[in-house]
Amino acid sequence: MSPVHLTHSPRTEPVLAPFADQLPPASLEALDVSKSFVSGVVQVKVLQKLSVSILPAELTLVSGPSGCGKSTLLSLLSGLQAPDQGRIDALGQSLCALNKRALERFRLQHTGFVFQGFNLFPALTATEQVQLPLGYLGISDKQARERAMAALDEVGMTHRAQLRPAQLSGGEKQRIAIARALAKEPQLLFADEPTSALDAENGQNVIDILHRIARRHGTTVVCVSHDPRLVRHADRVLSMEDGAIRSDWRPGMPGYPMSHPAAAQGALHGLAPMSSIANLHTTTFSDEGRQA
Amino acid sequence: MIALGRKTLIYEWRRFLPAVLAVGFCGVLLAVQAALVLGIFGSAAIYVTGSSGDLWAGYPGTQSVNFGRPIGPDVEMRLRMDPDVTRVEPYVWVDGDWRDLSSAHGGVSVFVSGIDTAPDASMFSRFLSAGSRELLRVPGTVIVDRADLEQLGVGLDGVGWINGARVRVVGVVNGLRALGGVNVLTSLDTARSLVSGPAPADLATYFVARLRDPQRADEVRARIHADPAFGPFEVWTAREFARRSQHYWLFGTGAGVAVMFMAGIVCLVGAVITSQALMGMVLASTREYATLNALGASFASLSRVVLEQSVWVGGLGLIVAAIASTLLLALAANRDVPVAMSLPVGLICGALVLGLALISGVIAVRGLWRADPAMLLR
Repeated sequence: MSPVHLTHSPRTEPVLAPFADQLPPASLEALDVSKSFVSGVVQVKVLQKLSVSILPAELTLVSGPSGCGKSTLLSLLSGLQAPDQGRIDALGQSLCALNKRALERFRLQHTGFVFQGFNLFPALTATEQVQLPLGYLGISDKQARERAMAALDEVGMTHRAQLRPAQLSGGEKQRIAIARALAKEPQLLFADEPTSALDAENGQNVIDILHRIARRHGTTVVCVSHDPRLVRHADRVLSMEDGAIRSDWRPGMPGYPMSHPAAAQGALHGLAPMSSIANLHTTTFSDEGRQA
Repeated sequence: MIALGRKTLIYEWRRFLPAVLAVGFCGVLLAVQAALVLGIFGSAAIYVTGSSGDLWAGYPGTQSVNFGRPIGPDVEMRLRMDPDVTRVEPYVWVDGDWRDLSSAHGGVSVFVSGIDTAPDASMFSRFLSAGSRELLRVPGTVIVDRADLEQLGVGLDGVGWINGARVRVVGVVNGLRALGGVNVLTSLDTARSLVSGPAPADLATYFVARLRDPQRADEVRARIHADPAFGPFEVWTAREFARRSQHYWLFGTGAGVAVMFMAGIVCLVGAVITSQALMGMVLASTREYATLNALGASFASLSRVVLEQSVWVGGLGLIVAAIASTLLLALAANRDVPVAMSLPVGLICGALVLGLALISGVIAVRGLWRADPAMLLR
């Protein structure tokens, strides 16, 4: 397994608006969304009037036990599914107002996905896997190849560029899948259990890469996982249970649920330390977050 | 743009092989069936297509060469009156019953063709040399197809009886097999002598004319109207009469409908097998297609990948079909099986095969409906 060259990247760290007095505007918002599924004759309410705002340039981890609704939340935020009620705003656009074709176009231009399964085409080399979605963007072959190589470089897979999935380890496949999502230069990146099929070392690599993408490119990275090891790598952790967000905190700031500088300065007033907001209703929290 | 369809086809060729073979097999069935139809029903017009006459005059409304009725000898005069006609020769058709020496084969239906034995005669000029015709000048001599000798129970220079009259096989040719009987070539005089019952000395079933300029056949035919003064007759160009004979056998007998039905069944079975094989490939890659859709590749773009694969499968199947059909038809022709193939028919078979593959692709596109990206999050 080759290490990810975190410290040898030729890229410079991006200049993001420093967190001064206020939070940057949310790039992704769920407003009073509800979603239910029919299982046999029973209707199961997965999410009920859930609201949340997600900020750019950070890795937001949605954690919780199986069946808590975190993957459903991800599918709504990413536009893969429509909520039964409520609305989803992404990059200032209401996804609920878009038809299927427009949603596909939105996803093509703005979103990247990393799934638990790597879902790579067996016939394509690593470079071709990454190049493939770029073709649908209308990018020329030459430019697509350059972008694919840059994305592979970013995930430390340049040396495996000509190999097919059958010749790669699980960790390497997931890094190719990340490069595939990254090459589109999306503003929104969604990852669903990206480390659950990986060992500890590879899981660590993958989450580091996702974190770095958020910081370097200003990408809104939303990662769904029940893997507790990922918590310390996230900028923000949303803990879900029974279809609701039970806590929202920032691991880097002990004593404060939100480690964001603005939060530390009280921009998110009304938020109590983690222990005390454990039972705070998410709707209340999100409304305040938007006001901030 | 990465050629996903083609690269997958090459990399996973073993999984596409059944589809390619299914398409190829359908192509072979269609081509062989068409070749047999052309060969068998083409033999209904062999009397016309194997001769160099440009115009045929026969009994009015005759639907096929073998249904000829005697026409009056004056018709020959009517043909000769036209300035563009350079040669007219009678052609006598006699239905006969062949018995061999041992009578081991029972009776065999034979179609006796009484022809002019002049060296430059038109009838069966494709099969007979001047020398062969000369052999027929001896009364009671006949020429048959080599492949029919066994059926007739006779060898070269052997003896048999047609309608009770003794004949001797003096020569053989290839490619003269008939539909539902055996073609026997003989001289006009011998043919007339084989007619059961009394027959006029100048009996003729057809008069075959050769023109100064064969290109003007339609024009000359239009000029030679039916005239009661010469008795009942009708004139066709050789091409018209050949087609008329073939159409009668193909469509007038129901054989054509049977052939079309078989072709339809072949295409249907081929489409089912091919679409299932393609569908299997699509379903095997459902998660990958769903991921591409999540990344924004439209359903239409993904459908194009499947359709591209079906076109490749069709093209490869076509190559398989072309090679296999060529070998099979060559073998069949070598074994005296009546087969024939023409470029238009070959192209129609090819188009059917490609169409079949494309329809299979359209059916297989349904597999993409399962590629819902939301399923990747469950």
